[in-house]
Amino acid sequence: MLRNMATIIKKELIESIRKYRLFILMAVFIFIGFMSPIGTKYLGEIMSMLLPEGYEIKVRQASEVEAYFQFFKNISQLGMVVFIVVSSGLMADEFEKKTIVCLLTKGVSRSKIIISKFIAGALELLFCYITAVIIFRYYTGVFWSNQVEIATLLYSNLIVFEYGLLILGLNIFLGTKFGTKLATVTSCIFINILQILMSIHPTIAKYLPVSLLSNCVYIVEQKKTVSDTVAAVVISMLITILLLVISIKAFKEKEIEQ
Amino acid sequence: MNDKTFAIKIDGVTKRFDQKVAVNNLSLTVNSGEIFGFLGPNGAGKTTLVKMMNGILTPNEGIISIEGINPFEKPAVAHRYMGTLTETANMYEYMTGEENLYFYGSVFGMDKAVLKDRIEELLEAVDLLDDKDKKVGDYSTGMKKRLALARAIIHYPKLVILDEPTSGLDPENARKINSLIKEYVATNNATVFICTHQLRYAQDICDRYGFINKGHIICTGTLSELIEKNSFSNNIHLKAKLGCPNKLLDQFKIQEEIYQIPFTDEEEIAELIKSVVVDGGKVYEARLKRPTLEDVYFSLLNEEAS
Ligand SMILES: Nc1ncnc2c1ncn2[C@@H]1O[C@H](COP(=O)(O)OP(=O)(O)O)[C@@H](O)[C@H]1O
Ligand SMILES: [Mg+2]
Repeated sequence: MLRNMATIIKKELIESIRKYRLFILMAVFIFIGFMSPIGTKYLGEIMSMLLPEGYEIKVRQASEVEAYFQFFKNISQLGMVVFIVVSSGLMADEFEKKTIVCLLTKGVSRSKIIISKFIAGALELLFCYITAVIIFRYYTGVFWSNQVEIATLLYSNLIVFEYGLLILGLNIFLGTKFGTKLATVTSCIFINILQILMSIHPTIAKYLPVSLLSNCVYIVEQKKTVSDTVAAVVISMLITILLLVISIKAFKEKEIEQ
Repeated sequence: MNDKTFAIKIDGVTKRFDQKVAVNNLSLTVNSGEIFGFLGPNGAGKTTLVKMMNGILTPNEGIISIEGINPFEKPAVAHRYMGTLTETANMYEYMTGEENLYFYGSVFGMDKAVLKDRIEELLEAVDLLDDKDKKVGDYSTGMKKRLALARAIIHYPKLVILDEPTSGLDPENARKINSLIKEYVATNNATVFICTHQLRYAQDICDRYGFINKGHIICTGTLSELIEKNSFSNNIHLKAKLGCPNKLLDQFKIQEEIYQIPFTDEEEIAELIKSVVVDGGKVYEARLKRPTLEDVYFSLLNEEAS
């Protein structure tokens, strides 16, 4: 029973590699892993070298915490946007390329398809993310000898990763609903922007999944404790599960017009 | 009644898309072991019916049973029995032909070792052994269709449903597909349901036919049953120069010196030729012309239209 899920996951990974999706995601995450600490360390020096004598520019103090800030900023902006694009085809491609019928006519259940795709996407993100974190941690060690505890590193990154899972669930749902990659990417980005706008209101912000992307920094800066962020983490997980459930429901009700 | 005596039983099925009725109160049975040709013009509702048989669309009304199983309620069980070649038979373009077959067999739950031999055998049968390591995106239409057929029968289904298996193919590829289907039926004792609007290929392999137009069945039966049911007569095609005017022949003249005369008894042919010769005429050619599938099809469709 689990075997056909493993088969689908493997197929997704093969396709990801052949379509260079995994390669692009990995390249971006490696870039972030390198550039966040290196940029933080040398940006000030580079800037002052470029400026003529006598001028002064205000650059934030090159510190380890500042490097974390840069890292999370890059992951949650560049990293997430690339991940949205890369994962948008997981379901949508099957409809767009009209391959879904072949899969269904081999008797694979629709819920297994959804769950397998989610697992495949999560594995890809995890793989790239861990690589980025290892590179990042290596350089913060070299420059600032890793003052930030490993537990803090893990928790702050875990909540960012959870946001990635939410994106994944959202893309699977949107892909199932709309059946095209363009509609999936557009509406996924729209929902993210909407969340950012909503988070201007501080009491709502606390419960919005998007707050995970700023909470990770507060955790490192020790401005917030784990318990301050728990609400948003739990809500994000519940929403991710809910998205999978409604994806399965939408898929089961979908009349496939191919 | 026990539905298991039929490979397919369709009972009063209707499918509407918004206002458009694609399949209209359609009933049909296909017996085990036959090759059934489901014929009708484009837009008649063939593909819609195939999708319902596969549990991909739900009928608005009526019941479909595949070997006694409702494909919409139990798709996994129904798909054990059947293999379908869909009209838009797209496979994963970034994977090779072999990888695709491996994926579908494995996702179906076939054993690794069995699958390996089966794929080898199928690739050989569909003549793709040399191209097995090419990506499907680089395959031609004919190669894709052949691979899709291999995909459909990979798990030795008892019922094979083929939606337009020869459309878009050149005659040689079409003939290849047909002989593959015949061979599969012979070796596996399978039932086949073929949708097509290509009558020539259908007549090549089908035992029984169902004609569909605008979502409903016009007629079903073997070719001779269809001929009989609709009282089509056999004709004699005659090329002759008459010695003197012949009232009977003039009635059936279709062009200069060519006559097409309906008959029921072969003796009539002998009599006719004799009379022409006796009257001092010459017979150059006399040929029996039985109604073809095409004749029956067009005449039934025209009848429908009027
Ligand atoms: N998803 C759909 N939405 C609306 N109309 C459809 C849909 N699918 C098929 N139809 C209509 O139903 C009719 C039957 O189509 P189809 O079953 O594909 O015919 P065939 O396979 O015999 O050519 C056509 O008129 C077609 O336009
Ligand atoms: Mg069709």
